[in-house]
Amino acid sequence: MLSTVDSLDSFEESLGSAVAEISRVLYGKNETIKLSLCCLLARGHLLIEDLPGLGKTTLASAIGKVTGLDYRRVQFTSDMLPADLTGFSMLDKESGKFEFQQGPVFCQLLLADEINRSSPKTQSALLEAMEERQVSADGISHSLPAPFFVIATQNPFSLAGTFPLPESQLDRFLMRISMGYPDSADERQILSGSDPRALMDQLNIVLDSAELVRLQELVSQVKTSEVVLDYVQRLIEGTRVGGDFVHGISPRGGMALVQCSRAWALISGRNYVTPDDVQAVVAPVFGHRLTNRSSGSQASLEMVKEWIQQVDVLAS
Amino acid sequence: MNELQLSRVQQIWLMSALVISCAPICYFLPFWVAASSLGAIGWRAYLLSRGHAEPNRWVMFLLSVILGLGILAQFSPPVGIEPMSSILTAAAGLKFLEMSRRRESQLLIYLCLFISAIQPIFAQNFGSFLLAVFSIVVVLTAQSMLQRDTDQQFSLFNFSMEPIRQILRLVAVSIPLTLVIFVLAPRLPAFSVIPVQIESATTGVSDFMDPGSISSLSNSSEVAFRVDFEAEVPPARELYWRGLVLDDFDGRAWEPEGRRWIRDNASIIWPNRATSFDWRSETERYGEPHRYTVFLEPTQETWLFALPAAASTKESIGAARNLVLTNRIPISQPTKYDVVSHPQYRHQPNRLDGPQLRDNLDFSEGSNPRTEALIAEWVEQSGSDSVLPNLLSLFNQEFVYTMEPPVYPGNAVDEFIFDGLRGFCEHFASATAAILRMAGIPARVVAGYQGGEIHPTEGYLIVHQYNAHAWVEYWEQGVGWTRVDPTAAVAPDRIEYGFEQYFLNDDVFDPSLFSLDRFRGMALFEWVRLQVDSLNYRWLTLVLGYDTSIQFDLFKRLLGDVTPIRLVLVLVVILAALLAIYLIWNRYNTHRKLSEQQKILRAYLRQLRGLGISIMPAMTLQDILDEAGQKFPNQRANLANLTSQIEQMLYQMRSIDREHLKREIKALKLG
Repeated sequence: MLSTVDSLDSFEESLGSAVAEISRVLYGKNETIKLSLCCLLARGHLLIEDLPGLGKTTLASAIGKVTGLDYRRVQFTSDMLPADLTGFSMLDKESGKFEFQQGPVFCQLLLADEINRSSPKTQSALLEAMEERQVSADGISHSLPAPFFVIATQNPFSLAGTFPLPESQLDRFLMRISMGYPDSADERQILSGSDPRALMDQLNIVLDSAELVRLQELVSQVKTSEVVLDYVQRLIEGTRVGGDFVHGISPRGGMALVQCSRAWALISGRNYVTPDDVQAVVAPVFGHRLTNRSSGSQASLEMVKEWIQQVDVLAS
Repeated sequence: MNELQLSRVQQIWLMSALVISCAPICYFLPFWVAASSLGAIGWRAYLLSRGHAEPNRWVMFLLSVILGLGILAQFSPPVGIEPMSSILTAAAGLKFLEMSRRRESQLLIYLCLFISAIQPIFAQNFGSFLLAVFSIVVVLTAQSMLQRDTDQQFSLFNFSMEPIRQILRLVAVSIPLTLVIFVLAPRLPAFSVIPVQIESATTGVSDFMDPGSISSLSNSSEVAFRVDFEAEVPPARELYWRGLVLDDFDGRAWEPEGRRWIRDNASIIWPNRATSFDWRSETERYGEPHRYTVFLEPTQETWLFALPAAASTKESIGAARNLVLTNRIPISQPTKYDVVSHPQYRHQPNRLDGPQLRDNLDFSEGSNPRTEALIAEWVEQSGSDSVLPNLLSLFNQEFVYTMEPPVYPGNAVDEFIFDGLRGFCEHFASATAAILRMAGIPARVVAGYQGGEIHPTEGYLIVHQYNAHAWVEYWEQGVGWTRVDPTAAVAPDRIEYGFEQYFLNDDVFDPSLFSLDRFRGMALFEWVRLQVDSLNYRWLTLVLGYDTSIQFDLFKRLLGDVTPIRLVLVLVVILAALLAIYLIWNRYNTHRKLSEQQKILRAYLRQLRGLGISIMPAMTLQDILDEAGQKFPNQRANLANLTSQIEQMLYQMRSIDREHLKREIKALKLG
């Protein structure tokens, strides 16, 4: 098994081609695609927050296609029950025994569309599965397949009839990103090009799940020097003392930042973290974990990006 | 853990702090105070080790009452330093015994600090100072240990010097400020006005001399005083340090006229004060004077020691008509005074007034009949002028100088002259003065010190308690008072070479057991003893001797004119200088602590800033590279190379050729 980070070339190549492959159906969103893959490599779950029609579903299914992961999609609604997600026990007439029928959560890549539409009960069933990577039914634990990666989406604007995720639940997501509008050139290409759905079937698997698991293992071996950790600590400290946010970042948030920075370094083809990696992921990692003191809402990506401008990188 | 919530280590530290801060002053307090304090500490230590609680409050109440009454009984009235220190020491012990909550340990720490701070009131030599500093360090360490989590069991194996080092650092930091305050702050004569009556204090000279009742003279090698002569130290035979004049003789013993004569007599002349009777015209001084400074150890008495025909200008020193110096209050602290002595002088050469004549001729007639008869015979044969030479030759031929004379219980002078023939200076002085009086010659005994040891390297004179001496002064018409030392007739070497030389190989000389003098003659110990003494001497002269007048002189030398404004300015300047030193040191220290990596990074950034590239806080090396590359496109490759090297060094933790990198950074020139 290849586990040294020093021979990165092959991985860099496959990661690069994965990004390229996905961008065939999602124009001009390389940054977002890399962040999603980064989250996947860091073994975290991804929350995408944006308006409908900006390509959330396309991104999720393209990742599924390119990585060859077993991909399912669940549309969350207000009448959805936990069992609809996790599965239920049913009497098998032939054997006369109850048998567990696996729900849609038993997959490798789950797209939980509009997660805030469902009741808190269902939300928490999903979040439990995300955290524990297993499902308990009738006192029996059923392990979920590995890797297990959840991409949840929510619409932050039309909030009528939704159940917004509380902070503690948001914390389960390693990253929160938004898609944003494409720029005009990309927009033109989207408009003039063929239907992405048709293109989707043409996508090739460039990163199989075995390779993905190996990459996930490599993430923890990416070197993180004291200097970089100093910077991470300054960032964490800044959220706690600056007065910009209601609460500072928790140690778990800090660990998330380090883990994502490592994954980003790996995607960038390095076996060591630089402050550039930290800066690349800090907004998606910190954003949903911070509450803006002045507005009382979660810090937007832009706000975090703006905020880190005041934190010394080199501290010399 | 017990109910005290103090770990074993903390308990041990607290106990050590208590014992170490109280021990030095216990030496000066009644024995039972120290014992009760130590007993309380030991009791509590026992209870703690058994996991028992503190004694109940009735026991504590009873103990407090007993100790309080004891202190009341010991000291009457219970005012002053000693009763107060006794109360504090006893209270510290009791507090430790009853301590039940963690915060009470803080109170104990304050008590210990206070007790450490009183230590210098009791003893002021350099050793005591070090001891006080040591106990403060221990108390502060105990304090810092109380603030730490020290769960581990105490053992010598995991004993950590770290807290002590931390406290030592703190103490070291406080030194400069202490020095500034010491030099600049107004000198309070604080210690010299606190009356300390230390019963254990001994002196070789007393104001009651009854040689007949003493069978053995203890010879303490303690220092009585040290003298710093401006010029050469005069020869030993001239060093007669007069302390007090004993002129009242009852047939056996000598004491100053009326015991409190010196203090009460209006004839004492104080500087800057009007006097009702100015006797100064009675003294003629001529010749070259000796100028010297005396550093006197505490005596608990008012008399001061000086060479004859002494005069001092110190405010608190008065001169008595018999030419001894006297201090206004008892000497309870090391005291320094300047003296000018004229070795050539005539005192009261022309006449003695009635009471003086009467007092100095009184030999308590009938108390020593055999001697009286002998002297009457001598006077009849060859006149009163021959009595003294006769007596001295008699002493020289038939008498023995010894430190262990027989007791003369009856007619002391008779028994000494006719039966015993053995004695030390006091016997000879007493007999001589009595006999001169019998012959009609006014005479008196003078008590003080004779000789002294010259420090071989420092050159000052050390006068020990064993230099204590007594001699005689007699009066002659036209000459005045003249000194005669009968001991010199018996044992001339005792005067010429000093006491120690005289007894060096004699079993009689037995200095105190714990003194370094025991090892005299062994070169190394001799050297150590002298070094310790010179340390003490420096401490005396530099620290204890630093008084208002020296301070004023110093200011005058430094500032020219001493005005409040200038003083404040000096203070401000010095404080600013100290602050600056601190800041520079701090900066240097942070720079020193910077890793090699950070230094390289700093050099790189400084170089780029110098080239006009503004570096924002959030800029990474790559951002900086972009910025600089845009500004200087032709150098982009070079910069990229440097950036990659620094990144490798900082982030990849790869060892690179740092010297080479430094050179490259230095050589960086853009544009």
